[in-house]
Amino acid sequence: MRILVVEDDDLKRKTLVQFIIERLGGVTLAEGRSFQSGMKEVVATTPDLILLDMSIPTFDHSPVEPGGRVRAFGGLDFLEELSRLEIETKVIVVSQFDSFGGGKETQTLEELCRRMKTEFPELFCGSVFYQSSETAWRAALSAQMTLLGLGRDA
Amino acid sequence: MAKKKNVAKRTLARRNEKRAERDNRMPRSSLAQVSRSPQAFFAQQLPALLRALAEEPRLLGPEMWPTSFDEMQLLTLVRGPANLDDAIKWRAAVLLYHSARLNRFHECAERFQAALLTRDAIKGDEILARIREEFGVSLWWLRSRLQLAALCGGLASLREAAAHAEGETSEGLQICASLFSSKLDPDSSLNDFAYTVDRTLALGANRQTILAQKIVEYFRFQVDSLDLLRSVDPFDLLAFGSRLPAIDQYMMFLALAQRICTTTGAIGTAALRRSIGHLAGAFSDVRFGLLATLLSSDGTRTLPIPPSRLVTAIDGYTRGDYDTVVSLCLGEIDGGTCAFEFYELCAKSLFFIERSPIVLASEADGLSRRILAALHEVLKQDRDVANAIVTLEKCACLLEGSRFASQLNAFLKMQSRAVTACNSSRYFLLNSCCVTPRFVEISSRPYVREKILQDLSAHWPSSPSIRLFSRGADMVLDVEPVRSLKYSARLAATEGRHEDAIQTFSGALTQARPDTPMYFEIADALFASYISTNRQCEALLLLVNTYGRRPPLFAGLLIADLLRPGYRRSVFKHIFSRLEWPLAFRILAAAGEGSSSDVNRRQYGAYADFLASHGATRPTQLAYREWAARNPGFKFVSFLRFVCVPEVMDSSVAFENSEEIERERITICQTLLEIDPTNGDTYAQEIARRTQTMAVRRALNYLGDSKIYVDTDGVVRALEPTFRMGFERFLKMRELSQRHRRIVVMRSVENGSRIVVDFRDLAQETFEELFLELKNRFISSNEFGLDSYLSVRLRHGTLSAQIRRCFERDKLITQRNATTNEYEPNMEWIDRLALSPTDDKRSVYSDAFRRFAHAVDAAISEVIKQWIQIRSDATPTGMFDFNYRDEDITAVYKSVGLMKEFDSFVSVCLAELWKRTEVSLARIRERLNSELRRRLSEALAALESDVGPGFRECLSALKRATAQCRTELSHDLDAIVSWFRRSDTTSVPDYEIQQLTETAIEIVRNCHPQVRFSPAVDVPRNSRVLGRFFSAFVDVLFIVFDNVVRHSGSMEPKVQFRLSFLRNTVELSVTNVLSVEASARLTPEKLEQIRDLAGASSTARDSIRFEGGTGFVKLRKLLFYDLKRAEEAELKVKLLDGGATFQVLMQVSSGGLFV
Repeated sequence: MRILVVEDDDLKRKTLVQFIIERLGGVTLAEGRSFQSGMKEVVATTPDLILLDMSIPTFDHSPVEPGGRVRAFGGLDFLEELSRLEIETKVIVVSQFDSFGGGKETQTLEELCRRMKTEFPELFCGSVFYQSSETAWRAALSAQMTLLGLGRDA
Repeated sequence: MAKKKNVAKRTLARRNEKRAERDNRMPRSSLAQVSRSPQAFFAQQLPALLRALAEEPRLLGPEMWPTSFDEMQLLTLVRGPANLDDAIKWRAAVLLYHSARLNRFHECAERFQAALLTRDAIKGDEILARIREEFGVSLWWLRSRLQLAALCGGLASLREAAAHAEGETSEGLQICASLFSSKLDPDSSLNDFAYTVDRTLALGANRQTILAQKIVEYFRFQVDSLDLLRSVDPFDLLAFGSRLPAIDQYMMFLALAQRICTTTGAIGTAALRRSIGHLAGAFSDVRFGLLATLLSSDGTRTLPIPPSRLVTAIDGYTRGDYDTVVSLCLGEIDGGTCAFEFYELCAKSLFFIERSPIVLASEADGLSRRILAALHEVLKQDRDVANAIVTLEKCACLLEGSRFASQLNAFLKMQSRAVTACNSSRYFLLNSCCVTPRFVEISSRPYVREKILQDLSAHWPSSPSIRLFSRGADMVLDVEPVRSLKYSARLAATEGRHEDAIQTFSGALTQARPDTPMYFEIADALFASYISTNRQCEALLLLVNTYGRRPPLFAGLLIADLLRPGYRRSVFKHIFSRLEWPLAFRILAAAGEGSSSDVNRRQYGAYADFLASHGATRPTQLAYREWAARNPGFKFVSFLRFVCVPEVMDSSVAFENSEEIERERITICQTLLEIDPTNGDTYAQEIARRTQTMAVRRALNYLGDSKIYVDTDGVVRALEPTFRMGFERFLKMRELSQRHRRIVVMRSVENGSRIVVDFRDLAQETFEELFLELKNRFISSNEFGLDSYLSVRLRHGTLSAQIRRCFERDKLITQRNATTNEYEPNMEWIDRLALSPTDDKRSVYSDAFRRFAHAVDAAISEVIKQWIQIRSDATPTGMFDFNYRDEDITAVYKSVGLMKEFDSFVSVCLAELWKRTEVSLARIRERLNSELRRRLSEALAALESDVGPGFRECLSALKRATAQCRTELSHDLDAIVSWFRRSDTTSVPDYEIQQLTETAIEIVRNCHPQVRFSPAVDVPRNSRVLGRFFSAFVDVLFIVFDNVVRHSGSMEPKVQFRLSFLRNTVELSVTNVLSVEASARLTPEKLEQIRDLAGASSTARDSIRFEGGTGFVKLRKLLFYDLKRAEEAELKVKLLDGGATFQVLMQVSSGGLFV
């Protein structure tokens, strides 16, 4: 079982990784911090499950790389590319924001979920609203993973 | 029992009969019936209603021909007909009752339209005066009055007329007058008008009731009858307008009947059909006749036939006799014809004789010529089409209320493919001046089409146009070949022979001239045929090839329909290798279809499909010369220019970082320079801009690498000659024998009298002196030492700004007030979180944000004042630890060994000092990564917790802001941690002054995200600064610019930077305007203090290694020592313009500084 976590927030990514290790134990874990590193990992290894942030930078940040274009709907970009490449990996969106974009392009997480369900029914499994200070996300993510037949409940 | 029932039934029937007889009785009973049982009254058939009116005109209600505005009743809220059919019948009866007078009005109205078209103000005035005298006032009259004023008198005249009208008593009338004039304002766009309508009809708190909303829609319809985008409720409109003047009821009824007949799927009821039938018989207005023709169930309606001149023009166009058509049409147009058909024929014919309409010199020229010119531009479908459409929309407003305006408006909707609430092409035809052959397209019923063509043929038997519609091109000889193909194809399509239609249309398209309206008409028809036969790929290819070079509005909607979200990609798989595939998405993007992120996403997919189908992962892998040769024209150029852009390419895993993408794009632009030289300037500018951006980014990286620096050459130079003399002495010591080198040193006194001694090596002692001297300079030299650079490049403001910037960007943190030393209240968030200005939670929020700001600044202060310091008695917590114990010095002494060369000796010592520095740097990096990160994260968490439950949406916004800050802070801290590495400035290339300046500006913007910093820069092009002076140069500019931002007192400081060469010197001048407060703070004493700091004697001061008010000291040090100008530098500060402007002037010798 290969699981990929695509998340640019270091603390959140580490927390998710830790959660997976605690819950599932022996899985092969990979991490991506941007659209590019996540997609490269997908192309190279075709994971079974992706935990995906919605808003991500294009490239991994580093002192010499400012990260490129910030993608408010990077999660959608990711799903679209998975669909185009006909990669059948399940995706759970884990986000700490409840709305994305700005101005007339603002969409709530709920609206985006409906859209992802319609446009990517084979890939998108659901979303989890993540808050670092609370634990409800654990149960929600556990429930999603249980639906996918992954390990025991948290 | 059954018998009783029958009796009851018969009794009831008799009662009903008597009631019906009673209801059908005349005069007084009609009025009574309306008040007693209005539904029953209005349910009568039209002839009965007409009879009732004829005998009892009081049924009409108030005056239908009011002589003053006071008498007008705009809005009716009384009970009337119960349903639309009854409302239609009743209104038709009313109009029929007034038909004779309304016909006379119609004639006058047509003449008035002609006066407007020919801009004949006198005639227009006369006609309006006569209309008022004979027919009274109305909304139509009011609007016409304003139209005439706007057209012939301009804005002032319009406002005068509007003010006069707005002075009338009725509020509804005032609203209408105000909105009419707003629409006719020459400087106001239709978007502005739409906004004005929304604002005027907002209704405030009452808008939620259904009745209020209906009244708003009613007024909206009255003031904007050209709005085909909104659907209308005819029943409500008829009901509310039942007491309007006769003229307005006539206009409204016609418009509503047309809307009903053009709404998709609807063709009107029997009531409408019969009513229109009666009206067509009584009215001379052609629109009733056209409606009747459309609604006729058996096609036996007598048609309003075209005048002979129009038939001549149509036939001339069909035959291809374009010169004749233009002459004839121009004559009609200049004569003020209200037949749009002449304009259309003339504009289209001009394409074939390559003659543009006479250019209108000014607003003084007639409206008709302006319309013709704009129409021609619209049909050209090039880059001016959007402006031309706007011009025509304004012209339609000037003629609103006329058939011509309705037809023109519908034409524009068709051209721009606007999504209207009704069928635009049918609406267009229903506003024709007569029945022309084209009118057959209004109905799909074969017998209606046949009847129309038969009637026309009866009048014009030799007309090739009529025969063309009847039989296609087969039997019509004197028709232009392409046109005959087009009509044959259309006939085939109408008859369902789509394959034939496609073949014939395709043939016609190859023969038609690409720059003519006919070409686009054929393309549109071919597209429709492709769609009918599910050939989406061909349809898409056709659209791109036809419209790819045109403004996107023509194809955007059609492509959006083909490629709507959820479309099946597999359908288009076999055109992935065609350029049209990615270009289709480019057209979508240019047409504004979808959000920018959606557009980029889909564009990328098509781009990737295309490249993959040609075995490429990057555009530069395509053999572009071959491609350009195989694809002459716009497609390959458009692909490279508009599709292969960073926002699309950056989704490809073929690139490793942002710089690679920039380089790819630069290479693409270089390719475009070669294959599309016409737009060479555009590409050259893009190359320059991107190169500059990359250079600045690289420069910022270099600067990040050069924060930890010691000018070791400077240190050693400054030690001369005493240090070298000391080294010589050390060498001599070392040559002595051990016994001769031994010296005694008292270590301690024990038990009061016992002296304890150590034996030392004199050579080692000498070495220790040298080493400590070098160490001292290495660390503490004001000009060259580590501490000085730590102060200039980190502690002075850079570090603080880098940490604070993400908080400032999201406005989570405020500044400290210089006078009170308290943090300014964070009104931005307090106002968002508090429920009201008096919400007692405001003080809670204020305190929370203050605590947060304090926590952040306290953490920053600790880093600056305690961590990034040289450890000493004064700064015991400093993390740069250069304390050497005896054994440490012994180790260094041993590593020197028997070295005899001075340079090698110094190198070994410096290597040791750098080694010690790097140990300290590693500790600092670790502490920044752990402790500082943790403290700032905790501060954010504390802020969220302290704020507590606020207004839900704003709390969500706060959580968003803090979450974003956490991520950005993490990146900023990563950058800061990377600064704490030993710098390597050997690889810095030479830089253009422009790029250095941009780099410094970029740093200031990064440090102060809330300030709009855009200095005017005047520097020579093509002058390059040597790479080794890069950091120092940027430091100079940064200190001065940063000073401006901090002290000018403005969030958008006005700054000018100039660099100029004067003989052997270079002068840098930074001038900025001071705010009133800043100017007041800059007292003569303060200015003197600044001058003192900038003065010659200040460099030696230790203050250079401290922060707070030491910018000019640092500046001087940079000019003198870092730029190695020694005594050939000058630094002055001045107040200009009576104290309103502050100037920093630096002059240095230019020798050895530039390439």
